[in-house]
Amino acid sequence: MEKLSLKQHILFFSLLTACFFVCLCIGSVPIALSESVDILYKALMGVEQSSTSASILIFVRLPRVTSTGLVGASLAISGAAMQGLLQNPLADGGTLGTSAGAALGAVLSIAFDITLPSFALAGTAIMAILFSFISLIIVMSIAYAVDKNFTNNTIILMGVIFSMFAGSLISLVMAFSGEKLRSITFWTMGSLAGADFSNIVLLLLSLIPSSLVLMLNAREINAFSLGENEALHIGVNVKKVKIALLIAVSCLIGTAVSVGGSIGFVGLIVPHALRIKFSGNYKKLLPLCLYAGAIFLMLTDLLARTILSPVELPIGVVTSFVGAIVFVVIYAGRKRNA
Amino acid sequence: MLKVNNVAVFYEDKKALDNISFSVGKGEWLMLLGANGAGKTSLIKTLCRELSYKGEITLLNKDIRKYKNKAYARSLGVLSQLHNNNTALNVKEVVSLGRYSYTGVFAPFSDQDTYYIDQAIETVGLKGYENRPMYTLSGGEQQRAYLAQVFAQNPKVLLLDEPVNSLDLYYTVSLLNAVKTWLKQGERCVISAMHDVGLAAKYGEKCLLLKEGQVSLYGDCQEVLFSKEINEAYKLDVRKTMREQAEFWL
Repeated sequence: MEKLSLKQHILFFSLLTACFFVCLCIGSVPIALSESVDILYKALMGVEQSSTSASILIFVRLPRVTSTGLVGASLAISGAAMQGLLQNPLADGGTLGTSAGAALGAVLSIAFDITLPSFALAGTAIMAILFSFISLIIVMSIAYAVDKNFTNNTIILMGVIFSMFAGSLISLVMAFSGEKLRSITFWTMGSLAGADFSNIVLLLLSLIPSSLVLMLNAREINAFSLGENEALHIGVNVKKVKIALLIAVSCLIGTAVSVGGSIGFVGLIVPHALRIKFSGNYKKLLPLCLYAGAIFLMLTDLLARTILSPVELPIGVVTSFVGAIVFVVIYAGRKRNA
Repeated sequence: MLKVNNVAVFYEDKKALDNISFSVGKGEWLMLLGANGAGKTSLIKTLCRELSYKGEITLLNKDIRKYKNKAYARSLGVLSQLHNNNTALNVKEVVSLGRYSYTGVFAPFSDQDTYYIDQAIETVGLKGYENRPMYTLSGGEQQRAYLAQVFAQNPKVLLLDEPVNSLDLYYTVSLLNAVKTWLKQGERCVISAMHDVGLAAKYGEKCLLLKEGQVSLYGDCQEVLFSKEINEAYKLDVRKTMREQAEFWL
């Protein structure tokens, strides 16, 4: 099975870099490209800078855009993996209740101070990851208990119901500890405002190993896309691979949600568009999702913070708007009930 | 090659199979016959290790429980009746998955792998379809692609679970002929669950008749298809029925 060629990698990486700089430069305070490059260069060289542009670029835009890219990549690749694993084109963190579970975990962690002593953010992320994994297991178990055939519609239904359930629990916790937590909008609609460098480190710690696990199992995900039994028959160790994939996906979604809140539809839109345009072969699709997911979310965030400037839209508003339409298109385009 | 001895299978609180014993030798095509619900699919699922069982099943003199995943796939392959349509892979990618048990993450396809893949695609008559996405193919073409996948997998034992149920006459004949040719080309055997006793008669050497989870009769096709047990299993005079159907064609 073919992988992405070097040429393709270079092309996408260039697109990514271009997009990155566009997002750095445009904003409520526009910074010219030449100036941005200059600021970054000086920052790398360790030169002290005191201009407002430099402060904004280095301490606000740079971490925000980078975090956004990493969150986008995480959400897109985990969505693609879930779709392959469950043979369900509608599966992603949002529809399976995983994002909501992760948000609940993060909220509980902050409200009850359940964190690691020196790395508070990581503690929240770990709780989010744990709850993300538990949510996946719960939703899949209930779907299987309710419907032995484990049809796609059942699992999505259970996922959506679970999301609502988790959402109500989040509101409940907020009723008691509102002051400690970000607003409910943050958790349900997401926001990358205020992202800082520790977020970037956290996201990288999650993205690099998890996406490696997913990409190393690309053939297995291809096999799963034919059906779990089919995968078993060609020799895949179904149990082992499934658990590895679910853990990797939980890490990705858990971390993304603890940094950026619940951002819906990224895991649906990006893989779906890539499958149509390029390939359904996960050996190519997964790395493409990393690039495209980053680009997509960076651009969406750009839109969210500039379209109604000076008002900032929650990023989930933009992704939901586009995503809801794309969701219906995917649903209408499915070949048969599955 | 494959020996089944006193096997019992429980499925959803009831005994799906009981006291099943038979064996399949080199070059043999065993037909699994029986009414709906008699246990044919349960037996196939047991042989593919989807269901747990009590008793002994050995493949090439080794207990099938002892095989590792990839090793078992190299020894036994399955063609199911229905496949889901939610894959975006193309024909070549699907057939290439048949070589999964022979390759690793970092090992690209060897010349031998490529040979098996291309050969399989050609055998089922899908040459030229390599880059077509699966969902653009007709039911018969898709089934042939999955057959190519199992040919590429090159197992010793091939299990077919009512593989031609949804295929038209052309695809039915071409698929079964392809399997027959494949069977004769190596140290292989085939076990298939068939609804159509006419096809069973044409392609099979031995028949295993199941009734309510137990072996009703096991022997040569000639013996089983003309027996009183098969009339009991299908609740009609099989020989007479088939003759009446054939009259039109004589």
